[in-house]
Amino acid sequence: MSQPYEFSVAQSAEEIRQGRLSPVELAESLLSRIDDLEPDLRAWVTIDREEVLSAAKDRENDLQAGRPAGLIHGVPVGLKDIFYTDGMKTTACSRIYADFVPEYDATCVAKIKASGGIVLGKAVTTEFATSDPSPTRNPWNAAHTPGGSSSGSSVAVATQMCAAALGSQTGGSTCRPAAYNGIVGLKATYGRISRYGVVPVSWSLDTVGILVRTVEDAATMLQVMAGHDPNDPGSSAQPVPDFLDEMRLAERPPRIGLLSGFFQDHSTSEVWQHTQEAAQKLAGAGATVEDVALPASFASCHSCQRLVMNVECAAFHQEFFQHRADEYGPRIRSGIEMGMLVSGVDYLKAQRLRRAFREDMTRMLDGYDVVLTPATPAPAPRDLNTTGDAAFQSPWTSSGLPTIVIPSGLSQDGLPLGIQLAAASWQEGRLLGAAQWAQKVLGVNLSPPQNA
Amino acid sequence: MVSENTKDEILQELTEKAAALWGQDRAQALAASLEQTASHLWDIRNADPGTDTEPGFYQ
Repeated sequence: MSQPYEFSVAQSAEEIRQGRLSPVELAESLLSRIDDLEPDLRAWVTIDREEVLSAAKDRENDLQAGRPAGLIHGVPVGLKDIFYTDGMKTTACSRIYADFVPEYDATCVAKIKASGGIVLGKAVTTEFATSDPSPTRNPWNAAHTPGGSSSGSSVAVATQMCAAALGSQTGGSTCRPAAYNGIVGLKATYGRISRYGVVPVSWSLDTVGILVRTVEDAATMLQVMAGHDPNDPGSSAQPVPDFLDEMRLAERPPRIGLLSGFFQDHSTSEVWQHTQEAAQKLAGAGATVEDVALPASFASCHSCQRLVMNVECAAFHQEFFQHRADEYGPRIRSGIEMGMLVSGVDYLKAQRLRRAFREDMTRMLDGYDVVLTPATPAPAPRDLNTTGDAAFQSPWTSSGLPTIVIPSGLSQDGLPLGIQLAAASWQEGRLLGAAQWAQKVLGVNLSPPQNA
Repeated sequence: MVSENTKDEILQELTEKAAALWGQDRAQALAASLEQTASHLWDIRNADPGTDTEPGFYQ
């Protein structure tokens, strides 16, 4: 018989709605799971057990009193420790923010609560969501990086310590750790989910990320958090559709553009062969799969992403950095320093190139529901001094287009492999539908040894 | 649009700036990052977004 901690977001919410599972029972199951696994995996910064159980009891009382249940009523959600939580420390796993206690919730956290969700705890991030590795361990093999920067969120979801967690992506920080841990990672269109109350890396790149085990749960969490927020200048006023409905409508054999070129050249032969086999399987099930060429503007997109990230990161940290540079980890410190060396003219050129690139990518997506690439150039590297390679994510972050990673198999070394799908801006419904269809066709649900 | 500077010239310029800001030792310690940044700068200085393309801060 399944334990409550094994349930997806959709299963948990349905069991609670039907009265077959109480929010308190679910919270206790997840807390007990965390007690069992946390000493080895180190995925969490803060768990306020009493607060979690108290919120769960409140949700239970809501149901008993007949108050309307939200989409994720009674479901605990993990938060990367860069999301502001009213009255709870938000450290960004840094010395600079070590004692920071926000006085309000990030907009997306407030929306989770408004939909009946419960804050389970704050998950480990790399320092300030950049690239100095975190202490979190990869549940598939502790000698390999779990990826970053959303390392704790990804590992927590992979090992059933929670069914959903929030991450963020400035380069590849949601979809890459999702791939390394064998779960689903969704980065929505830039501007779809408010960044208000999220410790920034880079204002014009940062996107809230969703880490879950099923595509349906990605749609559910997107539904909970999407929408315009006047407090976030990057937030879009695009209407918010019913993503679950759109996903179901789009769940059919999609028109897929297979991106080779850069993605083939930078993949290991094992990863590229695996991706081709996945594409063939999708074509065999009815998808139209065609090779598609990258636009010329792709050539500078990684450089644009890196320069913009460093400059904006330097701008955000300028005041702290003047007096406390020694308190930063080596990678974020050098990133900030590099940002300080870039001229305004070069920064603006990078932003202009990003815009041109986005327009080219939008044109490239004409005629396709989604484009497909490997999720990462290789499985999680056997190196705890790196968080891996974000080269397959940063084009989508730089252009702002929505992208999703789903698990697609295991490497010869027994590590997760994934495929990545991307769609045109604001087409998350189409993206989720294609991903849902592909997940069913591929039939791959990965589970690390801890889940046995 | 082609940059008048070579990658080495850009690296030289960055290294001098770094040394002026943080001293020679720190500039030396940042050698790998400086080289990478010079490469990124060379890439964007040799790319053309089109004269009429304005920056796209918020996508």
